[in-house]
Amino acid sequence: MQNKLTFFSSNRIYYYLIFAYIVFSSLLIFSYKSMGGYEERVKNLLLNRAVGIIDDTSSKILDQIIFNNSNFILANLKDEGLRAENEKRLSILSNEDIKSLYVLYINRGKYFFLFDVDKEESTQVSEPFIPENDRFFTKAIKEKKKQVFVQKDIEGLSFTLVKPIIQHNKTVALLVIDYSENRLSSLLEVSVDFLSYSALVLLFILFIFLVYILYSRYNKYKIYRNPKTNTYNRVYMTDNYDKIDFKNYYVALADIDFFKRINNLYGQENGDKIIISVIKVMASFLKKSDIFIQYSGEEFLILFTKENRDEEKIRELLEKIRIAVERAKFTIDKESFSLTISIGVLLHTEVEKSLQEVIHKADTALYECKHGGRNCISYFDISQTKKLYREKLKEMIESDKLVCYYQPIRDLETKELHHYEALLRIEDGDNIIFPDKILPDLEDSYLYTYLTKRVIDYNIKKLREDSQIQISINLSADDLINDSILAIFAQNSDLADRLYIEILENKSIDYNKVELSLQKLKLFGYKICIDDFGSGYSNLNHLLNLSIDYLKIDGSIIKEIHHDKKAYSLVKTFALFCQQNNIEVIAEFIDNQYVVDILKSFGVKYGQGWYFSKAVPYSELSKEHK
Amino acid sequence: MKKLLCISLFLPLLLVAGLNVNKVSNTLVHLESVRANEVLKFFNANEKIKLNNGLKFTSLEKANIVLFPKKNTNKISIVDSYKKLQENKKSIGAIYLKKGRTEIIFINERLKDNGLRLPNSYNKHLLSECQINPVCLLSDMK
Repeated sequence: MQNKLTFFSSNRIYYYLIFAYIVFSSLLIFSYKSMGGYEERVKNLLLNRAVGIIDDTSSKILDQIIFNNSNFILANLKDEGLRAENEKRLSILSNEDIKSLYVLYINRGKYFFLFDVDKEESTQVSEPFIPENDRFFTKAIKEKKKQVFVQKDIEGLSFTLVKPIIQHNKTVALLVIDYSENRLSSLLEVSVDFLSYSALVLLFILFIFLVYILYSRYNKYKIYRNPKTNTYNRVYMTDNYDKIDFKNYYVALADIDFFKRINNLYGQENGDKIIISVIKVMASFLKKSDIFIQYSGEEFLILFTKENRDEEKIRELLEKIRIAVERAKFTIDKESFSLTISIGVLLHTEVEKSLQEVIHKADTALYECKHGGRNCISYFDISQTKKLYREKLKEMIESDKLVCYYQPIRDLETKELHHYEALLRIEDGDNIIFPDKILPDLEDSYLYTYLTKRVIDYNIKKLREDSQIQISINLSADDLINDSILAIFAQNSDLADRLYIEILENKSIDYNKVELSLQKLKLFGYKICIDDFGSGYSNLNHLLNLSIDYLKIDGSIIKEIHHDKKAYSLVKTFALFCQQNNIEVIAEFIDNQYVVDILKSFGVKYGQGWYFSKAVPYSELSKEHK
Repeated sequence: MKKLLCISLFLPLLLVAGLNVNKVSNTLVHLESVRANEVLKFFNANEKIKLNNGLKFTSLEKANIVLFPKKNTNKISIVDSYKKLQENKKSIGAIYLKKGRTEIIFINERLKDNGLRLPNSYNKHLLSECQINPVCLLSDMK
């Protein structure tokens, strides 16, 4: 119940929504209640039109009846023959819609029958008649105007016309016509009923809709919140990347130092209790408008609103939070201990393009903090020059300046072309920018993945245009575990026999994840090559597990092969290992025939380097592959 | 012929069946004796008409007013047609259907003669003896 209340207190919009619904319902109920009056007015309007014709005809007949009679009532009361003749005249007006047609005269405020055209119901002359709706009769007499009204209470009647008969400018009698229930009135009732029921159905649907919104929002709220701490979790973050206006916040990423030790020592349940305690300490410093997200187990993302807070204030506040956690005593099983937190902060969020980027930078700062001894606050700082360079780089990548140059990989024995390695270049006017100038600045940014996708697309286009060419492209381990990149390869698996994937080895690799991705790529039919082997954390055991097709020995070793014994024996060992495990070896940076001869003696099959050809644009490639 | 007989037999019943019993009951309940503490008791001779709303009913012998008598009675009665009202001077009023409406008529003089009265709000239901006599009414019109 507490959660439900918290939900409403943190989602004021739903109060307004419920209020709006109540107002709308009240209006609708009021309209529904007024429907009766409205119905009567509409009916009268339509009925007045409907009786128009009979009104005209009756006027003519009544003129004939009254004609030459100074007191036509007395004349008719006295003369039975005249009365019969006049009744006959009036009977012309009868039709299937008219139930009764009669003329009433008035004596001392009471009504008495003068004529009655009804054949089924016998009526004596001068029989009294007491109307149900006498106000319409009175009105007709006073105003000397016809009245039409709906008969609600009389079974079989739909409406009644009361027409004054005027003689010597005085209402002396009334022509009354009762209409039977007909299609018009039924239709009117149906339409009014339809409106009424529609309003009720609409109200019901709106109610269901409101309940649905509240229910689904509450469910989402439950998904977004940690029930123990009532803080947002990472799901909230990922679902609301686009909705959070991060430029209005300073963003901090805080992490409890050495928390794994606590989990290992006291168990996860106690660990959770500690996390809740730390959150409480931290949350006590926050404003209502700040956003606190439990980003992962012991990592917290805090968005501090910039409103009424300058940089100096936020620095002070963060320091207070750090000190508060440091000074707090946490207890598990009567054992008391202290904790510290490290905080990475990005202050200048206004220059960033996405929240992911902001978080990434706060994370970079946190990383620095962790490596700088922990229990500190580190601010992400990017120099103006670097910032400008990155902006320019971004523009260049997004434009058509991105191209690939191709360097052939040849069979060392026959010198025949095996395939080309695609190498990224950015053509900035006459300047050619090489990847080693770009990639370090892009690493760990969303631009890196974007760049990889551009390179893949570029080469897939070339493979589709040129059915003979075979290309290898370089991917980082991060690229390999990116689902969107794997999806591109899946969609283009028909090119698998001509597209080689080289995995850069100069970065620490999460072998388990990479292995899974490689298995998928192999299933599609792609050939896999480990690039720059020997330069990074080379692990022969992993190499076997990854079940690769090619291994490219790093150029820095090949370069030294003819004058460095260590390099010589290293390449020889690699080559032998690969031969025994059915892995083809490629050597790069070959710049003379002597190196070729050594490599051949080791059984290295393929090679690339300036000795064969530099990397050149596609337009300059020889036609030998065609 | 059979059909005509059936219609002629059941027509009065059908007419009576359409009476607005609430309206009738609400009017009769306001009928009162001028004599203090005398509570009017009714006998309903037509079982098909179910009256309610606090009317006191009793046997024919003990009743002050007989409703819808099938034959002439010496007791004060309220009859079920205008014609019967004209003919039977002991009847103080008539309740019947006319043009689909429930007509309730009381004769002012007869009410007074029998020590009965109705509140002013029921004046529209009160006619004079003259108004139910066509000859008298005609002379009144001149």
